[in-house]
Amino acid sequence: MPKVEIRNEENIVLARHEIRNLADELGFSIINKTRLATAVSELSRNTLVHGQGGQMVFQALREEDRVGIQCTFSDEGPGIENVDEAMQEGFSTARSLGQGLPGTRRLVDDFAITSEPGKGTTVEITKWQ
Amino acid sequence: MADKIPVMKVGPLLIVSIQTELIDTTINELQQAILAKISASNSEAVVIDISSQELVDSYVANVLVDTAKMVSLMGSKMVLVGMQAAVTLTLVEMGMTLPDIPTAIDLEEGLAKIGYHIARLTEDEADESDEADAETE
Repeated sequence: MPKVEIRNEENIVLARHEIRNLADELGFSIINKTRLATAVSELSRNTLVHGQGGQMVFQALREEDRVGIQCTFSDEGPGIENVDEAMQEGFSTARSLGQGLPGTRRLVDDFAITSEPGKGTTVEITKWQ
Repeated sequence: MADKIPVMKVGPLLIVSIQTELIDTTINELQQAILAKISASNSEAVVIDISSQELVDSYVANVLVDTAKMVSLMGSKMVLVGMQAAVTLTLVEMGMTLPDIPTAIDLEEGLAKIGYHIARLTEDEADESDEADAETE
């Protein structure tokens, strides 16, 4: 699977570009491409800022009657103590996280997060066209 | 790689057109540049054109909201123009509504919103303006 290392701000831009290009290739509408690319921007920033860097792997999903994109962000940062709390509206540990996770979840079709304190966090999202 | 975004002074106004894809550093530097220029030139308003931005995430949106508050504290105004429809929809779905920032569909409408219209001087006005220029020289 294609992979983008997320170690600095430029890598966030690269992650967005990769996903926008793939969305164009798969014939995503502008609005769905923008939703997904924005979600990728939010999650790669979380990986960089809260996870102390990590990676995004992504793939095209081709089913009989639909196409989609799946992205998985993983880091080996401090992890999140209470994932349920982090997914609540208004929860914020840093400036950008206020709308962060709950807001990002609304932009995609599937959103799964696993985190273990001291080990890291993984977020997997899927957007269908 | 962070490109500097120019802040252009046009009479009492500052005009900013963001043509590059924003990264965190660029938008933070832009905020500083706008505040410095308002302070230096006592500008009435700053108009920021984001029509070429295909993506505005919560970080950039938060910096824009903060910048508008700071600009207002300095006695000036900030107008955001040209936000693409898909960007607007995405921000609203995420729960970001950019409160307190006047917005407009394009630069012309944005200028109208703060009371400015582009107009050509009549010949008489232009002559008067030339004379005034000559007197000050």
